[in-house]
Amino acid sequence: MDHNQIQQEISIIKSMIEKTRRETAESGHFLILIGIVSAVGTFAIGMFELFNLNQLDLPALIVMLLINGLIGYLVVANEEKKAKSYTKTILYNVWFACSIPIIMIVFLFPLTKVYSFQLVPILISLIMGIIIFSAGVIYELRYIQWCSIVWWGGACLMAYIESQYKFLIMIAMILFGFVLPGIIFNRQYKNGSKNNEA
Amino acid sequence: MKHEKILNLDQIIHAPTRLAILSILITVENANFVFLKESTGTTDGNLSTHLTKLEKSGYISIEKSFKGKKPQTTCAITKKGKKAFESYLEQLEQIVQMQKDKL
Repeated sequence: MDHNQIQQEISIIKSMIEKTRRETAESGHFLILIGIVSAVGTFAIGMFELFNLNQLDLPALIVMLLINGLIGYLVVANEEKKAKSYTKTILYNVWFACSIPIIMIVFLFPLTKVYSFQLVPILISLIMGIIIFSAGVIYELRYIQWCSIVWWGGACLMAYIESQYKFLIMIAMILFGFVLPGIIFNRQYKNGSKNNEA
Repeated sequence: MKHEKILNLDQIIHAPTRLAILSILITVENANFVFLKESTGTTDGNLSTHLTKLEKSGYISIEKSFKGKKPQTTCAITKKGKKAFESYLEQLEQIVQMQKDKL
């Protein structure tokens, strides 16, 4: 086996591993889509509260979570169609593990009067921060990790500010804590795809 | 003795297409036929032959299913395949080292 043959083999291994990593990278579609749905849903709930239509809060919340669940299912099914990566499996499991406490926080505890609905956005924000931080760690993207501060900082802000317009803070958090990381992921994904084509 | 062992590279992995297939499968949990075909740039028939050879050696597992009416072939590297790939890499490293030493 001569030097050229070895170099050829090493370059096959390297290029295949890099190509596969780029192809299976996080596209950010999930974060962008659920970010938009959550922002619209939060705005609707905020409006219901402003206009004293509180009875619509819970149905709106259920619809929002169902749509997000459906988006999650469709995105995962589509992205895992060709290849299933280890990193995505870890991230999806983090999402799944966090979605169980989110359901408890949103429905079980407030409905059984453990605490008031006022606490729901604060507690959800704390969990969202964990998800975004984990995503940053899993994909080794420090600026995604920093986006988790938006969620944790926002939770503190919502806990200490008394206002009818709290929902606007939540919308800002969704945009900077979900949509922005989604766009960052998507840019990286597109750059990777361009490199693959080249 | 050492030389013989080193030069005795695993012939199953040694073929470029099979090396490419294993390099892909080592990176992911599983990949389907279309993904492997696009990534390696081979034809259906060629890829099938190489996949069968890898499966017969126990390096990969192949699962055939149907998604609606479309047949789906999913491949994953086995423990044996991982070990073989790792030792193949080690052997390559040793050869590179030997060539460096010669220089």
